Amino acid sequence: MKKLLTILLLCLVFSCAKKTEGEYLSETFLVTNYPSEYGEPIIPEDNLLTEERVALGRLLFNDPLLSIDTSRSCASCHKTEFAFADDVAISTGIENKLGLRNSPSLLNVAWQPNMFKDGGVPNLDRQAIVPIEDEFELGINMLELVERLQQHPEYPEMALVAYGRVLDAWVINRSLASYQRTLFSHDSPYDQYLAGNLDWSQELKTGEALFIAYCASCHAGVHLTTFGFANNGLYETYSDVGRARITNLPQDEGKFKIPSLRNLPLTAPYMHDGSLEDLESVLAHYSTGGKSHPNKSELVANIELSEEEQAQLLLFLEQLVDEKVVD
Amino acid sequence: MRLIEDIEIVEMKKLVVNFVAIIALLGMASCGDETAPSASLNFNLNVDGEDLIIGQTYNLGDPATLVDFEVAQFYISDVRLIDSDGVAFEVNGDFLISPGNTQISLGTIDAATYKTLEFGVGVDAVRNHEDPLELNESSVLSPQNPSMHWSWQNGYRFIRIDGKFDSDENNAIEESDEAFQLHIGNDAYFRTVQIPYDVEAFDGDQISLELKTDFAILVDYDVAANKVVHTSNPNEFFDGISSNIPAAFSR
Ligand code: HEC
Ligand code: HEC
Repeated sequence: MKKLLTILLLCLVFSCAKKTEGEYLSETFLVTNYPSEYGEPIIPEDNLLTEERVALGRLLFNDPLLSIDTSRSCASCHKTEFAFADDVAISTGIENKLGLRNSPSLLNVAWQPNMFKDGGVPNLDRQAIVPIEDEFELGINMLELVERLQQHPEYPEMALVAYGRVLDAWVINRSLASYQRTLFSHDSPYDQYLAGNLDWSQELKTGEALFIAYCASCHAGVHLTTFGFANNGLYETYSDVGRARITNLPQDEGKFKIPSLRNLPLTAPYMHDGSLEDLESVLAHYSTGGKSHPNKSELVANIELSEEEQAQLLLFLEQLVDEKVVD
Repeated sequence: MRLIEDIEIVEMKKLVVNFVAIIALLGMASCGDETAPSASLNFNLNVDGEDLIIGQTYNLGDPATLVDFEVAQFYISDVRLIDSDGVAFEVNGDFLISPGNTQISLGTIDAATYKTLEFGVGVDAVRNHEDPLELNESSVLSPQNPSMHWSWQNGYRFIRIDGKFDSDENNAIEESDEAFQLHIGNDAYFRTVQIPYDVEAFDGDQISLELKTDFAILVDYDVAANKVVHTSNPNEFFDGISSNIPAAFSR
């Protein structure tokens, strides 16, 4: 993790001279050097990255004090070794309760225009309250958590330094967002190949061509997602209606946020419910254009993959791991 | 500990400024119309006429089921008093009503002959989706305990009822009985309630508008068969429950 941060938080460029409420507030902003093809990460004016904000967020992310019975933290379901996802279909929260969906990777979450597979929460800065209060995840009331963390030997002072305000729900959510904005992955063999630093076999190039032909209209660009919502024909009837859970619209039934495929081999099992256990199953699912559903995308319906092509695609998908993020 | 002191000084200064502002406002108000009528809205929370008390048992539902309540609260928003000419006196904002807080102070109102009381049950579609974390803790829309924000759908529970029902059918509620929940939220289920309410407000009057909220009308379904009701995506069952909301409020 340290490594990851150093890659990302390259230099401290300016130190703001302006002092607000007290002299404790650190306003030394971290200037992030993302490769330009990634576009600008979404960072609001009132929560620019500082070392102190990221440090507080990282401690909170890993602290079981954030669960009612101190049995779980954010990191229980978003594990570094699985690219900040989990290796089970449905992660367990407090008292081993099972949630609704598969835990996604948090790498590159700073570019996600909305949160969750149904896009129900508009931004990262107000996302954490969901798992914190969810009775199937961390299960603690927000005000109770604030009170608990105010008793902590370090957090209250860290909040003052990071944000110039007393530790409250806002600080908890914002600092967690700051930390997660430093979770960045951009250095897979595929990236090295694209940059011209790696030679690829004909077989890999065929895999790439298949990917571009069949998959890249949704899993597009450097993020390997358009960030849109689509129905990829996983089921004929969805018990989890996905995007429609938020919009109430029948045409959104079975639509889920198109996930990035970065670090794919580390994030099994797959799909919103973790129902496909490995990449072979994913390719088998797509090979005949998925199940029939009125909302299924044409782009999926038109996919046809022979066994040989599935093997070539698999080889390509295995090139998407950024080893640096898991050590 | 110097850091903490700094904050306290700032807070003190804010307090002093606020205090001066309030005094000034009070002064202005009392110079203006000294005798304008004032009003409050008072809710009697009950179960089929019996006062709702946390922990006490009641029979409700269809079929009748023994239950108790641990949480019974709801948002009221944008209260309007409409006079005989159809002109409305409005108090905008959100109010959280619970057994421990049954009164909304409407402050001074216009002297008039009012015919109708109107209010929203829930939070209107704009405020429902704003960030609760940006709000000062004095706002009832900031994080509450028990929680009223339904964060995964980025809105509020308009009505939150939690309790236990007699799941072992031994005619008593014990620790071992199962929980029931009715959480009504989602813009589709925001309801505006209109109640005929004849009241004459003369200068100098202090008017108390009394309203009853009957939880037996809200929970009038088979509780044992529907232990957890969270009105996320609209369906016929949820439609039925929310269509009862207006009838649960009466004079
Ligand atoms: C019990 C497991 C669990 C815990 C604990 C948990 N999460 Fe998650 N997280 C999930 C699942 C499952 C989802 C997907 C939910 C959905 O899409 O509806 C998710 C989604 C997210 C997302 C949205 C990512 C995206 O691409 O949309 C973020 C950000 C996130 N979690 C951060 C956190 C933080 C911060 C914490 C701690 C405060 C946390 N999580 C605790 C399981 C968990
Ligand atoms: C119409 C857009 C679309 C196309 C085309 C498409 N996908 Fe997907 N893909 C999605 C959506 C939407 C999901 C999420 C579904 C869910 O969560 O249930 C997804 C999920 C996945 C996942 C699971 C990722 C995870 O973290 O769970 C993999 C792997 C995947 N797609 C690979 C592919 C491959 C390989 C192709 C080409 C053969 C492809 N997709 C074509 C939309 C698409």
